[in-house]
Amino acid sequence: MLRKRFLAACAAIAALAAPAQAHHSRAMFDTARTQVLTGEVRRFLWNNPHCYILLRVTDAQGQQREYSIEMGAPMHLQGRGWTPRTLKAGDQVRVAIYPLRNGDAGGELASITTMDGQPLGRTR
Amino acid sequence: MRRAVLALALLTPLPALAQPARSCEPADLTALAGWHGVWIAERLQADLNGREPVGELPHGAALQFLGFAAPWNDRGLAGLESFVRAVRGSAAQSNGWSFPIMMQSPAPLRFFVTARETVILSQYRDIRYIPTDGRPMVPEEERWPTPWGTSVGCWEGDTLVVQTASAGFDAEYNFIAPHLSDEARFVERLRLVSPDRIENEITVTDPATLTEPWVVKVAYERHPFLDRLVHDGGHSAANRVVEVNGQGTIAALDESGPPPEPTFPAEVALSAADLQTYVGTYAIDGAPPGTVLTLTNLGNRLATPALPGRPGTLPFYFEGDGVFHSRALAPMRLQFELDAQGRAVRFTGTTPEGAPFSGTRQ
Repeated sequence: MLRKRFLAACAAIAALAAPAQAHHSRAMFDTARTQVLTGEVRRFLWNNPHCYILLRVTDAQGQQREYSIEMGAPMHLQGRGWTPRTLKAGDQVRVAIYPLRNGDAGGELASITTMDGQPLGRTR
Repeated sequence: MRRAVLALALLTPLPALAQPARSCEPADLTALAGWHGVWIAERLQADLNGREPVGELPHGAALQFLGFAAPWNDRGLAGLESFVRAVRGSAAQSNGWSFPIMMQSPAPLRFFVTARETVILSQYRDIRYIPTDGRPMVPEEERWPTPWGTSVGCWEGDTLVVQTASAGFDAEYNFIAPHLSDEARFVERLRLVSPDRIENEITVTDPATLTEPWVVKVAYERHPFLDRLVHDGGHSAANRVVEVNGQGTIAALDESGPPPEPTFPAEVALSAADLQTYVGTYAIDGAPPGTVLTLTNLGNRLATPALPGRPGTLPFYFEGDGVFHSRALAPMRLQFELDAQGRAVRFTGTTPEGAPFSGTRQ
C-alpha cells in the first residue's frame, strides 16, 4: 500500500506531486504505481540534495539494465539511520520505485530491503 | 536676556529619559535546558526518498504552510493556484524552505536558547536569529524582505513569543512557500510542553493576501535518535550526476524554474442561486467505483478540495454557458449539461492532465 504523501492526492483526479523537500518537484515520477526491482548495487552516491543508487538489474532474458534510483538528501537518510557506508558496490537489494514517467530506467525510491527482507538503517 | 534664554530652553527638546529596556530575557535560563537536541515537526519525519513520511499522515496534517486551508483573498488564491501549477507541471527546484514553511517541514530543527538571543536552525540551513534582549522590532525603513524575515522575541514565562516581519515570498528561493506579501506579520508562541514536545502557534496577518488572520498550530517531537544536524552544500546544484548506460535520464530534465504563468479566460459572475445548481458529487464515468469529483461552493465560486475530506479550496471560474475552468489544475475544464429544471446533471471536460473525461451527478 502506498503511504500518504506529504501533499495528499487532490480532488480525486488531480494527482499533485509532493514537494516534501526543498529541491525539485516529483512530477517526473509516476507515484501512482510502484515497480519492484532486485539487483546489484553498482554505485551508491551520497550526494546533496539527492542520494542515488545505481542498480544493475538482470531481466528474465539475461539482459542487464542499470536503474538510476533517486533518494532524499543525506539528511533524510541520516534521519533513517543511514550513512555513506550503508550500501556498497556489489550489495544485493530489493527495491520498489516510483518509475520515471518517460520510461527511462530510473525512478524514486519507495522502499528498500535486503534480499531476505531485512530493513536497512535504523529507526530508533 | 534671562527671559530669552529661558524661552530657548523651553524650545529645546528634552533628552529622552532613559527607559529601562523591557525585560525579554527568560527568568530562569536553566529551566529551558530541555530545548536542546534535534526536533522534527510532528509526523513529518521523512523516509528515505525525503518526500513521504515514515508513518501515516492524518488528513490535513501535512505541510500546513502550503496554504490549502488558509483564508486567502483573491490575490492569495492566485498565489496558491500558481504554486499548484508549478508543482504539477515542472521540475523546478528550490534552494531551501524559508520562513514560515521551515517551521513545519520534514527538515529537522534545532533551538539554540541563550538569555539574550535564540537561534532556530533548520537542517536545510535556514537560520532565524531572534534577539530576546528587549529591543523592539527593527523599523520598517531599516528592513527589507528576505526568505526568513526579521524577528524579535520575548520570553513570557516559559513561552517564547516571536514577532517576524519582512518575510517575503521569493519564488527563486522556494517556489512552494506560501504567496504571502512582504507586509505579512507573524506572531509565534513557542513552548516546551513536555520533555519531548514543543508546541508553536503561528498567527499570520496579511491584509494583502488574507481575509482574516491565519492561525497554524504545529508541534515538534524530539527526533528518535539524531543528536546533531549535518549540513551539506549543494542544495541549489542541479545535482545531475546520474549516469545510466552513458546517457543522462533524470539529468535531462529542465530545472530552470516554474513554468510560465498561463493566461485564462475572463471570469463571468454567477449568482449564488445559479452556482448552487452545479454543487454536488459527480461519479467519473469509466473510473473505478468511488472515483468522484466533489464540487462545493467557495464564496461565489465552485471549488473542489485540494486535500481529501477537506472543504473545497481550489476554485473553478465560470466562463458562461455552463463552462468552468480551473487555474490551479489547468487545463482542467468542465462543460455542464442541465436538466429541464436547470440543474446540472452531467459534465464533459478535460482532466488536469489534458485527457477528456466526463461525470454524472450521483
